[in-house]
Amino acid sequence: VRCPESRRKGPRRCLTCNTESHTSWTCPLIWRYYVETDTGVRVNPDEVKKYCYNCASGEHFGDDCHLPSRSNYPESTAFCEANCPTGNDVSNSV
Amino acid sequence: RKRMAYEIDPSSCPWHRPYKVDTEVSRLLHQDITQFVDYITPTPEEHAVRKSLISRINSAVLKKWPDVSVYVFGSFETRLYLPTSDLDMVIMSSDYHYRGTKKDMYILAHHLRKCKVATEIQVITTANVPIIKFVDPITRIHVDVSFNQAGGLKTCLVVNGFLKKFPALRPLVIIIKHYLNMRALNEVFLGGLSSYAIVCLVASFLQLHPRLSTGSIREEDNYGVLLLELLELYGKRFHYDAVGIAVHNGGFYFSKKKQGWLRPNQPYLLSIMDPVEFTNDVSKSSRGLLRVKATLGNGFDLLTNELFTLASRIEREGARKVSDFPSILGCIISVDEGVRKHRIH
Ligand SMILES: [Zn+2]
Ligand SMILES: [Zn+2]
Repeated sequence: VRCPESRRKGPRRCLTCNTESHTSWTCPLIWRYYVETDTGVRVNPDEVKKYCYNCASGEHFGDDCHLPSRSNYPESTAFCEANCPTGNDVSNSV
Repeated sequence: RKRMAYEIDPSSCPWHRPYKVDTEVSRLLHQDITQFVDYITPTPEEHAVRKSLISRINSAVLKKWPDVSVYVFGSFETRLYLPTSDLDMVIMSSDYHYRGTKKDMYILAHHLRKCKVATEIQVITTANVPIIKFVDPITRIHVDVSFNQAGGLKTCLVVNGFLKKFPALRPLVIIIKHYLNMRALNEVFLGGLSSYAIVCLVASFLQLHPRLSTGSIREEDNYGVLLLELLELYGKRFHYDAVGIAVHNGGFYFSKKKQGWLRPNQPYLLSIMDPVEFTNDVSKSSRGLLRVKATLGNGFDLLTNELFTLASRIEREGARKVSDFPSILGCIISVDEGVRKHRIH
Protein backbone atom coordinates (compact mmCIF):
# COMPACT_ATOMS: atom_id res chain seq x y z
CA VAL A 1 0.00 0.00 0.00
CA ARG A 2 3.10 2.19 0.07
CA CYS A 3 3.37 5.04 -2.39
CA PRO A 4 6.93 5.32 -3.73
CA GLU A 5 6.80 9.05 -3.09
CA SER A 6 6.56 8.54 0.63
CA ARG A 7 10.29 8.41 1.24
CA ARG A 8 11.44 10.81 -1.44
CA LYS A 9 12.73 14.19 -0.45
CA GLY A 10 10.07 16.76 -1.09
CA PRO A 11 8.56 20.02 0.00
CA ARG A 12 7.11 20.60 3.44
CA ARG A 13 4.07 18.57 2.59
CA CYS A 14 3.68 14.84 2.13
CA LEU A 15 3.48 13.93 -1.53
CA THR A 16 1.79 10.61 -0.77
CA CYS A 17 -1.00 11.93 1.37
CA ASN A 18 -1.04 15.43 -0.08
CA THR A 19 -1.17 16.89 3.40
CA GLU A 20 0.76 19.46 5.38
CA SER A 21 0.41 17.65 8.68
CA HIS A 22 3.67 15.80 7.96
CA THR A 23 6.42 15.63 5.34
CA SER A 24 7.29 12.74 3.05
CA TRP A 25 10.01 11.88 5.59
CA THR A 26 7.66 11.60 8.50
CA CYS A 27 4.74 9.97 6.72
CA PRO A 28 2.87 7.49 8.96
CA LEU A 29 2.63 5.16 5.96
CA ILE A 30 6.36 4.52 6.47
CA TRP A 31 5.53 2.51 9.59
CA ARG A 32 1.83 1.71 9.13
CA TYR A 33 2.59 -1.34 7.05
CA TYR A 34 0.56 -4.51 7.55
CA VAL A 35 1.60 -8.04 6.69
CA GLU A 36 -1.64 -9.29 5.19
CA THR A 37 -2.97 -12.83 5.28
CA ASP A 38 -3.10 -14.98 2.16
CA THR A 39 -6.72 -15.75 2.74
CA GLY A 40 -7.81 -12.12 2.88
CA VAL A 41 -10.94 -10.83 4.54
CA ARG A 42 -12.80 -13.61 6.29
CA VAL A 43 -15.60 -11.58 7.81
CA ASN A 44 -18.30 -9.66 6.05
CA PRO A 45 -17.13 -6.08 6.61
CA ASP A 46 -20.71 -4.97 7.22
CA GLU A 47 -20.70 -7.17 10.28
CA VAL A 48 -17.47 -5.76 11.70
CA LYS A 49 -18.27 -3.95 14.89
CA LYS A 50 -17.39 -0.32 15.02
CA TYR A 51 -16.86 1.56 18.23
CA CYS A 52 -15.86 5.17 18.54
CA TYR A 53 -12.92 6.05 20.82
CA ASN A 54 -14.13 9.67 20.75
CA CYS A 55 -17.83 9.43 21.72
CA ALA A 56 -18.33 5.71 22.56
CA SER A 57 -20.94 5.27 19.81
CA GLY A 58 -21.29 1.80 18.36
CA GLU A 59 -22.03 3.15 14.87
CA HIS A 60 -18.71 4.44 13.56
CA PHE A 61 -14.94 4.36 14.11
CA GLY A 62 -13.26 7.09 16.15
CA ASP A 63 -11.54 8.81 13.21
CA ASP A 64 -14.93 9.19 11.49
CA CYS A 65 -16.65 10.77 14.51
CA HIS A 66 -18.73 13.86 13.81
CA LEU A 67 -18.09 15.28 17.28
CA PRO A 68 -15.02 17.48 17.64
CA SER A 69 -11.92 15.61 18.72
CA ARG A 70 -10.12 16.77 21.85
CA SER A 71 -6.88 15.43 20.47
CA ASN A 72 -4.46 17.64 18.57
CA TYR A 73 -2.90 14.65 16.84
CA PRO A 74 -3.41 15.40 13.15
CA GLU A 75 -3.05 11.95 11.56
CA SER A 76 -5.62 9.28 10.96
CA THR A 77 -5.23 6.15 13.08
CA ALA A 78 -6.03 2.48 12.59
CA PHE A 79 -9.62 3.16 13.61
CA CYS A 80 -11.31 4.49 10.49
CA GLU A 81 -13.55 3.19 7.72
CA ALA A 82 -10.66 3.49 5.27
CA ASN A 83 -8.69 0.95 7.31
CA CYS A 84 -11.52 -1.58 7.31
CA PRO A 85 -10.93 -3.53 4.11
CA THR A 86 -13.97 -4.88 2.30
CA GLY A 87 -13.84 -8.22 0.53
CA ASN A 88 -13.21 -6.52 -2.82
CA ASP A 89 -10.05 -4.77 -1.62
CA VAL A 90 -8.15 -7.95 -1.12
CA SER A 91 -6.29 -8.64 -4.33
CA ASN A 92 -4.60 -11.79 -3.11
CA SER A 93 -7.74 -13.54 -1.96
CA VAL A 94 -8.51 -16.81 -3.70
CA ARG B 1 16.64 14.15 17.44
CA LYS B 2 14.60 14.64 20.57
CA ARG B 3 15.39 12.25 23.37
CA MET B 4 13.91 11.51 26.73
CA ALA B 5 15.40 13.16 29.77
CA TYR B 6 17.84 10.29 30.07
CA GLU B 7 19.88 8.66 27.33
CA ILE B 8 19.62 4.92 26.96
CA ASP B 9 22.91 3.17 26.68
CA PRO B 10 22.91 0.64 23.80
CA SER B 11 24.69 -1.92 25.96
CA SER B 12 21.48 -1.96 28.01
CA CYS B 13 19.70 -3.75 25.12
CA PRO B 14 21.01 -7.26 25.84
CA TRP B 15 18.10 -8.82 23.94
CA HIS B 16 19.15 -7.33 20.64
CA ARG B 17 20.38 -9.58 17.81
CA PRO B 18 21.19 -8.50 14.23
CA TYR B 19 18.04 -8.02 12.15
CA LYS B 20 17.16 -10.27 9.25
CA VAL B 21 17.07 -8.36 5.97
CA ASP B 22 13.81 -6.49 5.51
CA THR B 23 12.81 -3.25 3.83
CA GLU B 24 9.84 -2.53 6.06
CA VAL B 25 10.68 -0.79 9.31
CA SER B 26 7.57 -2.06 11.10
CA ARG B 27 8.78 -5.59 10.43
CA LEU B 28 12.19 -4.73 11.90
CA LEU B 29 10.30 -3.58 14.99
CA HIS B 30 8.38 -6.87 14.91
CA GLN B 31 11.71 -8.75 14.99
CA ASP B 32 12.95 -6.59 17.86
CA ILE B 33 9.76 -7.16 19.88
CA THR B 34 10.03 -10.92 19.39
CA GLN B 35 13.65 -10.85 20.59
CA PHE B 36 12.84 -8.69 23.60
CA VAL B 37 9.97 -10.93 24.65
CA ASP B 38 12.11 -14.06 24.27
CA TYR B 39 14.77 -12.45 26.42
CA ILE B 40 12.55 -11.15 29.19
CA THR B 41 10.23 -14.17 29.48
CA PRO B 42 11.12 -16.17 32.57
CA THR B 43 13.23 -19.22 31.86
CA PRO B 44 12.09 -22.64 33.11
CA GLU B 45 14.79 -22.36 35.82
CA GLU B 46 13.45 -19.01 37.00
CA HIS B 47 9.95 -20.39 37.02
CA ALA B 48 11.17 -23.32 39.11
CA VAL B 49 12.82 -20.91 41.56
CA ARG B 50 9.52 -19.09 42.04
CA LYS B 51 7.68 -22.38 42.40
CA SER B 52 9.97 -23.54 45.16
CA LEU B 53 9.60 -20.19 46.95
CA ILE B 54 5.83 -20.65 46.74
CA SER B 55 6.02 -24.08 48.31
CA ARG B 56 8.31 -22.79 51.11
CA ILE B 57 5.82 -20.01 51.90
CA ASN B 58 2.91 -22.41 51.61
CA SER B 59 4.31 -24.87 54.11
CA ALA B 60 5.30 -22.08 56.51
CA VAL B 61 1.77 -20.69 56.47
CA LEU B 62 0.16 -24.12 56.89
CA LYS B 63 2.41 -24.86 59.84
CA LYS B 64 0.77 -21.92 61.64
CA TRP B 65 -2.75 -22.22 60.23
CA PRO B 66 -3.40 -25.76 58.92
CA ASP B 67 -6.99 -24.89 58.00
CA VAL B 68 -6.32 -22.17 55.36
CA SER B 69 -5.63 -22.45 51.63
CA VAL B 70 -2.80 -20.55 49.97
CA TYR B 71 -3.08 -19.56 46.31
CA VAL B 72 -0.88 -17.77 43.82
CA PHE B 73 -2.44 -15.39 41.33
CA GLY B 74 -1.50 -12.41 39.21
CA SER B 75 1.42 -12.47 36.86
CA PHE B 76 2.86 -15.75 38.16
CA GLU B 77 -0.16 -17.73 37.07
CA THR B 78 -0.44 -15.91 33.75
CA ARG B 79 3.35 -15.99 33.21
CA LEU B 80 3.31 -12.29 32.40
CA TYR B 81 5.82 -11.46 35.09
CA LEU B 82 9.12 -9.69 34.59
CA PRO B 83 12.23 -11.01 36.35
CA THR B 84 11.75 -8.37 39.07
CA SER B 85 7.96 -8.65 39.40
CA ASP B 86 6.36 -9.23 42.78
CA LEU B 87 4.82 -12.58 43.60
CA ASP B 88 1.13 -12.26 44.53
CA MET B 89 -0.34 -14.72 46.98
CA VAL B 90 -3.66 -14.91 48.78
CA ILE B 91 -4.65 -16.75 51.93
CA MET B 92 -8.25 -17.96 51.96
CA SER B 93 -9.81 -18.71 55.33
CA SER B 94 -11.68 -21.94 55.90
CA ASP B 95 -15.36 -21.87 56.81
CA TYR B 96 -14.48 -22.45 60.45
CA HIS B 97 -11.78 -19.91 61.17
CA TYR B 98 -11.67 -16.42 59.74
CA ARG B 99 -8.04 -15.38 59.23
CA GLY B 100 -7.33 -11.86 58.11
CA THR B 101 -7.80 -9.53 61.05
CA LYS B 102 -5.10 -6.99 61.83
CA LYS B 103 -3.94 -9.21 64.65
CA ASP B 104 -3.75 -12.25 62.35
CA MET B 105 -1.61 -10.28 59.92
CA TYR B 106 0.95 -9.46 62.61
CA ILE B 107 0.92 -13.04 63.89
CA LEU B 108 1.61 -14.37 60.41
CA ALA B 109 4.29 -11.77 59.69
CA HIS B 110 6.10 -12.73 62.87
CA HIS B 111 5.78 -16.42 62.04
CA LEU B 112 7.12 -16.00 58.49
CA ARG B 113 10.15 -14.17 59.84
CA LYS B 114 10.77 -16.97 62.33
CA CYS B 115 10.53 -19.54 59.52
CA LYS B 116 13.15 -17.52 57.59
CA VAL B 117 11.01 -17.07 54.48
CA ALA B 118 10.53 -13.34 55.03
CA THR B 119 12.71 -10.30 55.64
CA GLU B 120 12.02 -6.59 55.25
CA ILE B 121 8.42 -7.22 56.29
CA GLN B 122 5.78 -4.51 56.02
CA VAL B 123 2.26 -5.07 57.31
CA ILE B 124 -0.04 -2.65 55.48
CA THR B 125 -3.43 -2.59 57.19
CA THR B 126 -4.58 0.81 55.93
CA ALA B 127 -4.72 0.04 52.21
CA ASN B 128 -7.87 -0.81 50.29
CA VAL B 129 -6.74 -4.41 50.34
CA PRO B 130 -4.62 -5.04 53.46
CA ILE B 131 -1.43 -6.93 52.64
CA ILE B 132 1.81 -8.22 54.07
CA LYS B 133 4.79 -7.29 51.89
CA PHE B 134 8.13 -8.98 52.33
CA VAL B 135 11.29 -10.09 50.59
CA ASP B 136 12.43 -13.69 50.43
CA PRO B 137 15.97 -13.75 51.86
CA ILE B 138 17.16 -16.47 49.45
CA THR B 139 15.84 -15.31 46.07
CA ARG B 140 15.31 -11.61 46.94
CA ILE B 141 11.89 -11.91 45.27
CA HIS B 142 9.27 -9.49 46.62
CA VAL B 143 6.06 -11.11 47.83
CA ASP B 144 2.61 -9.62 48.52
CA VAL B 145 0.23 -11.68 50.64
CA SER B 146 -3.43 -10.66 50.85
CA PHE B 147 -6.32 -12.26 52.72
CA ASN B 148 -9.64 -13.68 51.50
CA GLN B 149 -9.54 -11.85 48.17
CA ALA B 150 -11.05 -14.20 45.61
CA GLY B 151 -11.11 -11.52 42.90
CA GLY B 152 -7.49 -12.06 41.91
CA LEU B 153 -8.10 -15.75 41.31
CA LYS B 154 -11.03 -15.11 38.95
CA THR B 155 -9.16 -12.48 36.97
CA CYS B 156 -6.37 -14.98 36.40
CA LEU B 157 -8.77 -17.26 34.54
CA VAL B 158 -10.00 -14.39 32.37
CA VAL B 159 -6.47 -13.23 31.56
CA ASN B 160 -5.38 -16.75 30.67
CA GLY B 161 -8.40 -17.03 28.37
CA PHE B 162 -7.46 -13.78 26.62
CA LEU B 163 -3.83 -14.88 26.29
CA LYS B 164 -4.97 -18.00 24.44
CA LYS B 165 -7.31 -16.08 22.20
CA PHE B 166 -5.06 -13.13 21.27
CA PRO B 167 -1.53 -14.09 20.18
CA ALA B 168 -0.31 -10.47 20.28
CA LEU B 169 -1.58 -9.88 23.82
CA ARG B 170 1.42 -11.35 25.62
CA PRO B 171 4.16 -9.51 23.66
CA LEU B 172 2.31 -6.17 23.71
CA VAL B 173 1.47 -6.40 27.41
CA ILE B 174 5.05 -7.31 28.26
CA ILE B 175 6.41 -4.30 26.34
CA ILE B 176 3.88 -1.83 27.81
CA LYS B 177 4.34 -3.23 31.29
CA HIS B 178 8.12 -3.00 31.09
CA TYR B 179 7.96 0.49 29.59
CA LEU B 180 5.59 1.82 32.29
CA ASN B 181 7.44 -0.10 34.99
CA MET B 182 10.69 1.69 34.13
CA ARG B 183 8.89 4.99 34.73
CA ALA B 184 7.25 3.84 37.98
CA LEU B 185 3.82 3.89 36.31
CA ASN B 186 3.03 0.19 36.83
CA GLU B 187 2.20 0.62 40.54
CA VAL B 188 -1.38 1.46 41.44
CA PHE B 189 -0.41 2.97 44.80
CA LEU B 190 1.74 5.46 42.87
CA GLY B 191 -1.20 6.29 40.60
CA GLY B 192 -0.11 4.04 37.73
CA LEU B 193 -1.84 1.25 35.83
CA SER B 194 -2.11 -2.24 37.25
CA SER B 195 -1.02 -5.16 35.12
CA TYR B 196 -4.63 -6.25 34.90
CA ALA B 197 -5.63 -2.84 33.55
CA ILE B 198 -2.84 -3.07 30.95
CA VAL B 199 -4.10 -6.50 29.88
CA CYS B 200 -7.62 -5.09 29.46
CA LEU B 201 -6.38 -2.06 27.49
CA VAL B 202 -4.40 -4.20 25.05
CA ALA B 203 -7.18 -6.80 24.75
CA SER B 204 -9.72 -4.08 23.91
CA PHE B 205 -7.39 -2.64 21.26
CA LEU B 206 -7.05 -6.07 19.64
CA GLN B 207 -10.78 -6.80 19.88
CA LEU B 208 -11.77 -3.58 18.11
CA HIS B 209 -8.97 -3.22 15.52
CA PRO B 210 -10.64 -3.08 12.08
CA ARG B 211 -7.89 -5.03 10.29
CA LEU B 212 -7.97 -7.80 12.88
CA SER B 213 -11.73 -8.04 13.05
CA THR B 214 -12.00 -8.34 9.27
CA GLY B 215 -9.29 -11.01 9.29
CA SER B 216 -7.20 -9.12 6.74
CA ILE B 217 -4.13 -9.41 8.98
CA ARG B 218 -2.98 -11.82 11.67
CA GLU B 219 -1.77 -10.60 15.05
CA GLU B 220 1.31 -12.80 15.07
CA ASP B 221 2.69 -11.24 11.85
CA ASN B 222 2.22 -7.62 12.92
CA TYR B 223 3.61 -6.94 16.41
CA GLY B 224 5.48 -3.85 15.19
CA VAL B 225 2.64 -1.94 13.59
CA LEU B 226 0.24 -3.08 16.33
CA LEU B 227 2.50 -1.73 19.09
CA LEU B 228 2.66 1.64 17.36
CA GLU B 229 -1.09 1.77 16.77
CA LEU B 230 -1.70 0.81 20.39
CA LEU B 231 0.48 3.71 21.59
CA GLU B 232 -1.14 6.00 19.02
CA LEU B 233 -4.63 5.13 20.25
CA TYR B 234 -4.03 5.43 24.00
CA GLY B 235 -1.30 8.07 23.87
CA LYS B 236 -2.73 10.39 21.25
CA ARG B 237 -6.36 9.83 20.46
CA PHE B 238 -8.49 8.02 23.00
CA HIS B 239 -11.04 10.33 24.66
CA TYR B 240 -10.70 9.22 28.27
CA ASP B 241 -13.26 11.76 29.53
CA ALA B 242 -16.11 10.28 27.50
CA VAL B 243 -15.34 6.67 26.67
CA GLY B 244 -15.10 3.61 28.90
CA ILE B 245 -13.72 0.22 27.91
CA ALA B 246 -15.34 -3.20 28.29
CA VAL B 247 -13.68 -6.44 27.22
CA HIS B 248 -16.45 -8.99 27.82
CA ASN B 249 -18.89 -10.08 25.07
CA GLY B 250 -16.20 -9.58 22.46
CA GLY B 251 -15.37 -6.07 23.64
CA PHE B 252 -17.07 -2.68 23.27
CA TYR B 253 -16.95 0.93 24.40
CA PHE B 254 -19.54 2.58 26.61
CA SER B 255 -20.34 6.14 27.60
CA LYS B 256 -18.83 6.94 30.99
CA LYS B 257 -21.56 9.49 31.60
CA LYS B 258 -24.44 7.09 30.86
CA GLN B 259 -22.80 4.46 33.03
CA GLY B 260 -22.53 6.96 35.88
CA TRP B 261 -18.78 6.49 35.93
CA LEU B 262 -17.77 10.04 35.06
CA ARG B 263 -16.03 11.60 38.06
CA PRO B 264 -16.69 15.33 38.03
CA ASN B 265 -13.39 16.15 39.71
CA GLN B 266 -11.32 13.68 37.70
CA PRO B 267 -13.10 13.29 34.35
CA TYR B 268 -9.82 12.28 32.70
CA LEU B 269 -9.56 8.95 34.56
CA LEU B 270 -9.57 5.76 32.52
CA SER B 271 -12.61 3.51 33.08
CA ILE B 272 -12.41 -0.21 32.45
CA MET B 273 -15.38 -2.44 33.28
CA ASP B 274 -14.04 -5.47 35.10
CA PRO B 275 -14.96 -8.55 33.04
CA VAL B 276 -15.42 -10.63 36.19
CA GLU B 277 -17.40 -8.00 38.14
CA PHE B 278 -19.22 -5.51 35.93
CA THR B 279 -19.79 -2.99 38.70
CA ASN B 280 -16.07 -2.72 39.33
CA ASP B 281 -13.92 -0.15 37.51
CA VAL B 282 -10.50 -1.80 37.12
CA SER B 283 -8.58 1.45 36.75
CA LYS B 284 -10.45 3.76 39.13
CA SER B 285 -7.43 4.15 41.40
CA SER B 286 -5.00 5.06 38.62
CA ARG B 287 -4.85 8.75 39.53
CA GLY B 288 -1.78 9.37 37.41
CA LEU B 289 -3.62 8.59 34.20
CA LEU B 290 -2.56 11.84 32.54
CA ARG B 291 1.05 10.89 33.10
CA VAL B 292 0.41 7.40 31.78
CA LYS B 293 -1.20 8.87 28.67
CA ALA B 294 1.66 11.33 28.12
CA THR B 295 4.17 8.51 28.57
CA LEU B 296 2.43 6.30 26.00
CA GLY B 297 2.26 9.22 23.56
CA ASN B 298 5.91 9.99 24.14
CA GLY B 299 6.78 6.34 23.46
CA PHE B 300 4.90 6.63 20.19
CA ASP B 301 6.87 9.75 19.19
CA LEU B 302 10.22 8.20 20.09
CA LEU B 303 9.53 4.94 18.25
CA THR B 304 8.17 6.57 15.10
CA ASN B 305 11.12 9.01 15.01
CA GLU B 306 13.49 6.08 15.23
CA LEU B 307 11.63 4.30 12.42
CA PHE B 308 11.75 7.39 10.18
CA THR B 309 15.50 7.53 10.72
CA LEU B 310 15.92 3.84 9.91
CA ALA B 311 13.67 4.12 6.84
CA SER B 312 15.87 6.84 5.41
CA ARG B 313 18.97 4.79 6.21
CA ILE B 314 17.46 1.87 4.29
CA GLU B 315 16.83 4.30 1.45
CA ARG B 316 20.47 5.48 1.48
CA GLU B 317 22.38 2.34 2.44
CA GLY B 318 20.07 -0.43 1.21
CA ALA B 319 18.23 -3.17 3.08
CA ARG B 320 21.35 -5.33 3.46
CA LYS B 321 22.67 -2.94 6.09
CA VAL B 322 19.75 -3.49 8.45
CA SER B 323 21.62 -6.18 10.36
CA ASP B 324 23.81 -3.40 11.83
CA PHE B 325 20.86 -1.29 12.93
CA PRO B 326 20.42 -0.77 16.67
CA SER B 327 17.50 -2.07 18.69
CA ILE B 328 14.44 0.06 17.96
CA LEU B 329 12.86 -0.65 21.33
CA GLY B 330 16.13 0.59 22.83
CA CYS B 331 14.83 4.13 22.44
CA ILE B 332 12.06 3.49 24.98
CA ILE B 333 13.14 0.42 26.94
CA SER B 334 16.29 -0.74 28.63
CA VAL B 335 17.14 -3.59 30.91
CA ASP B 336 19.01 -2.45 33.96
CA GLU B 337 21.78 -4.29 35.67
CA GLY B 338 19.50 -5.71 38.34
CA VAL B 339 17.38 -7.45 35.73
CA ARG B 340 20.39 -8.59 33.74
CA LYS B 341 21.90 -10.20 36.83
CA HIS B 342 18.54 -11.71 37.62
CA ARG B 343 18.46 -13.07 34.09
CA ILE B 344 21.76 -14.89 34.52
CA HIS B 345 21.02 -16.59 37.83
ZN1 LIG C 1 2.03 10.97 4.12
ZN1 LIG D 1 -18.05 9.17 17.60
